[in-house]
Amino acid sequence: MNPPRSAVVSGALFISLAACGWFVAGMAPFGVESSAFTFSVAAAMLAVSAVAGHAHSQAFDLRVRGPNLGRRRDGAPVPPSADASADTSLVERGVVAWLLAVLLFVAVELWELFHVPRSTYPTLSSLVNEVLGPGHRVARAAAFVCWAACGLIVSSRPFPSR
Amino acid sequence: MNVVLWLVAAGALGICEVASRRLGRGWPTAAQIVNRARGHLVGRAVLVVGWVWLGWHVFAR
Repeated sequence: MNPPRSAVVSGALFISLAACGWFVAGMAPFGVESSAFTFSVAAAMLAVSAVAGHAHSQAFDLRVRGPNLGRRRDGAPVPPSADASADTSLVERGVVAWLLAVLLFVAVELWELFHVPRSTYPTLSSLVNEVLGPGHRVARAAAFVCWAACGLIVSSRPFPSR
Repeated sequence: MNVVLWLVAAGALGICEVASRRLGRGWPTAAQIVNRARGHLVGRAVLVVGWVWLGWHVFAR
């Protein structure tokens, strides 16, 4: 996809998502309509991601599945990537640190969840509701656009590093 | 409203991210962990299910 066309498609996608976000932000919560609309947008994002991934798949195949795997097109060996030269012990320590931080986050959520009143022990959902609740339409619509855009990322393969 | 515990939990995540960027090569950033998960079918499936649940939880409930 050439840059001007890519910009047009991205702009159209953004405007569509903003319109969807504004629409869903005005819907009553706990309704069938809001659930159906949210799942429909999620399905559309997955479809867009699949189409975009298919458009890039040819380049991906040339790099990964070509007969000269491990070499550049001119035959020179590919230099080791940043991951290959990373300090293994530092990687392990980093992963453990991330796991501990996430476990702390989950522990706080469970601690708050099983204590009342909610005004004193807020869960993550109740905190988010203060900012993105039904009364905050603009913030809710903006969050919807961000959420939908994240769907394009999480459902696609990462591009191979150069 | 008691948000001290939440600030501590968010601080721990923030410290991990800052440490990964200060230490450079080796300690993974959050984006690198997510990218690694995206490289596998199961990882992508988990991410997509979590993403759909998040959208439903925030915008439909």
